[in-house]
Amino acid sequence: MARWEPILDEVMRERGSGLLAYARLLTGNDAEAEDVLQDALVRSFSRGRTFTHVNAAEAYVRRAIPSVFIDRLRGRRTREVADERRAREQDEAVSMGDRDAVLDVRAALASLPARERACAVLRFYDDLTVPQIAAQLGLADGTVKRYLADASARLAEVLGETDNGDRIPVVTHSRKEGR
Amino acid sequence: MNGDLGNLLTGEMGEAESRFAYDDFAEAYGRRVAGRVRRRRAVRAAGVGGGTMLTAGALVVGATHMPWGALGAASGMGVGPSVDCVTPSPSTGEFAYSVRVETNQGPLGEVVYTDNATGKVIFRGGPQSDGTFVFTDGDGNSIPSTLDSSGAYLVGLPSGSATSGSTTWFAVFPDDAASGETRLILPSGSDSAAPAPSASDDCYTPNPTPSPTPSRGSLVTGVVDIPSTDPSLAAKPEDVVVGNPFQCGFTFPTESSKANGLWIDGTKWMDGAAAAAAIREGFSDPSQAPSIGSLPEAVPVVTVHFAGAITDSGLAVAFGTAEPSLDRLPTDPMDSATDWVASEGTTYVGVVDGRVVATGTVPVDESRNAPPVYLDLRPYDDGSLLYLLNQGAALTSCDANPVDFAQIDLVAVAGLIVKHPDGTVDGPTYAWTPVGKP
Repeated sequence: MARWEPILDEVMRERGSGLLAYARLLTGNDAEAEDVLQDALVRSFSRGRTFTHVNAAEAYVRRAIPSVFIDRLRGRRTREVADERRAREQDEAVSMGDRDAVLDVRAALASLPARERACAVLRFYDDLTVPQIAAQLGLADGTVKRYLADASARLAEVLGETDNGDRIPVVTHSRKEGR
Repeated sequence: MNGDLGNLLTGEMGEAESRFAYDDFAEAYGRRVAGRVRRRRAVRAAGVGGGTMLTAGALVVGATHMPWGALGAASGMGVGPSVDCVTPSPSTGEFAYSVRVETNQGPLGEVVYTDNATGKVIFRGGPQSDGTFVFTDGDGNSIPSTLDSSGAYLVGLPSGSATSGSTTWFAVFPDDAASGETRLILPSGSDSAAPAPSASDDCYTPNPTPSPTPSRGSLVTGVVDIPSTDPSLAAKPEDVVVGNPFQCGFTFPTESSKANGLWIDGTKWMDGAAAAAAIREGFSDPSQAPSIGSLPEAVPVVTVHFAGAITDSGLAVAFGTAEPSLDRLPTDPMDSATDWVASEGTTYVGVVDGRVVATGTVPVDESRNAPPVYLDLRPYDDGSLLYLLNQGAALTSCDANPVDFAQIDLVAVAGLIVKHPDGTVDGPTYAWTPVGKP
C-alpha cells in the first residue's frame, strides 16, 4: 500500500463526517457535499504530496473544498445554473413565507447564491479575511466584498429578526477545531 | 434564536456532522476515491518526464535525479514504469540521465533503479528478513551502503568510470520507493569536483550545501565525489562550510534573521503541563493528540510564521520538523492561479559560539512532526507553535560527544520553499531566532 493510502483512508474514516459537514455548509445539499468532498480528496492526494499526518491532510482537504466547490460552479452548465437559481428562488419563497424555516440557518444559507454562500462560510465560519477568501476562491477582493455584503444583508434579513425582536449580530468567532 | 452567525454556522456544522457520522463515507466512496487518486498519480508520473510509457497496472514510483557520469554495464531489466524527472548533467549542461524505479512484488519487494538512458540496472535494493536493505549493482555485486539514522541508505556507486576509484554516495529511501514517494538524493559532501546542477523546471534542486556527515537533515541535492567508502570520513566539521541552519556546522551570521514570508517570534518558556494541555487543546478529539510523555518544568515555545504557506492562502506539500528541501515539490502544472505549493520545516538546534553543534532530531516515523519537537499547525491562526518537549531526545550531537546542555544555546530555525503556479521556485529561505539556554 502506498504511503498516501493509509492517510487517505484515515481522513475518510475519521474526519469524513466533519469534512462532509463543512462541504454541506457550502453546497447546501448532502449529495453535492459528497461529490465535492470526493473531488477535494482526489485533488489533494493526487499530486505526490507528502502528507505526514492526518491533521495536515485534513487541513489540506478542508482548504480544497471551497476551491472545488467554486470550480464546480464555474464548470456547471448554464441550464444547471438556471435550475439552481429557480431552486433558490423557491427556497427563498418558502423561507420568507415560513418564520420557522427562516430561523433555520440551513435554510438561510440555502437562500444564498452559491458564491455568496461560499464567501459567507469562509468569512464567518473559517474566520478568513477578505484577501484570504479571494486567494482561496480565485476571486478579486472587490468581488468577495460584494458577495459578503450581499450575503450579510440577506442573512441579516433572514436571521436578523428573532421572535423577541433581537437582532443577530453578524460577527466572526474563533475556530479551534477542524484541524 | 440568539447568538452570532459564527455560532449558528458552528451549530449547523455540528448537526450535520452528527448526521453524517452514521454515513460511512469511506465505505461508500473510499475505493472510488483511492482509485481516482492512483490513476491521477500514475498519469502525472508518466507525463511529466515526457516520452515515457506507462505500463498499465504497474506500480509507478516517483522519480529522482541522477546527474552523475557513466556507470558500468549491468544486466538489463524488463520494461517498467518510468521516470518523471530529470536533471541537467553537471558536466555537459544537457539532460543526460533519468532513472526508472521499479518495485517488484509490492512494497516488500526488491527496488530496482534503472538508468533510463541505457535501460541498464544501476543498482537494486533487496529487503532482508529484518527489514533492512542490501544493495547490489547490476551484476549482483555487493555495493557499500550505510543506513542513516533517519532511515535513508547511503549507497556508494562508482562515479565517472569504474576505474576512477571514487565513489558517489546517494541517499536512498527504499520505503519511499515502495510507497510512490521515492527520492534518490546525492548527499552533500566536502568535495565539489563537479559543478552543481542547477534547478530545472521539472525538478527543484536546492543549492548544494556540503555537510560533514550525511544525515537526513543534510541531504540536499548536489554533486559530490567522495574519495572514500565511508561517508563519515568525508570531512571534519570544522573544515566544512555548510549552508543552512538545520545542519551541523552552520554558523549563524546574525543573532536572528527573518526572510520574506518566514519569521519566528513569540519566544517563551511554558510550564510543561501547560504545554501539554495547549497541544491537546488543539484537537477536538484528544485521542488524536500526539503522545507527549512527561515534560520538564520549562518548555521553550516559539511562533513560526509561514506567511503565504499553509497558514495563509497556499497549500503545503509537507510541514514538520525536517529541513524543507527534503520534500520534493510537485512537478505537475498547477490547476489554478491560486494553487501554489510550499514545503515548510522548523526545528530547534543547539549552538555554541554561533555554530550549530546539535541538530534537531527528525522523527523516525513518517509524520516528520512528532515529539520531542512538535509543530502545532494552526491553519487559520497567526503562526504555528513549535514546542521543544524533550531537549535530551530532540537534539543530536554533531560529533561523537554527547550534547552538553550546559554549554549550548537553543536557536529555533525554520525553512520554506514555495513553488508558484508559473513554475518558479522561491527558496529555500531560512529564518532563526535565539531561544536561550535549555
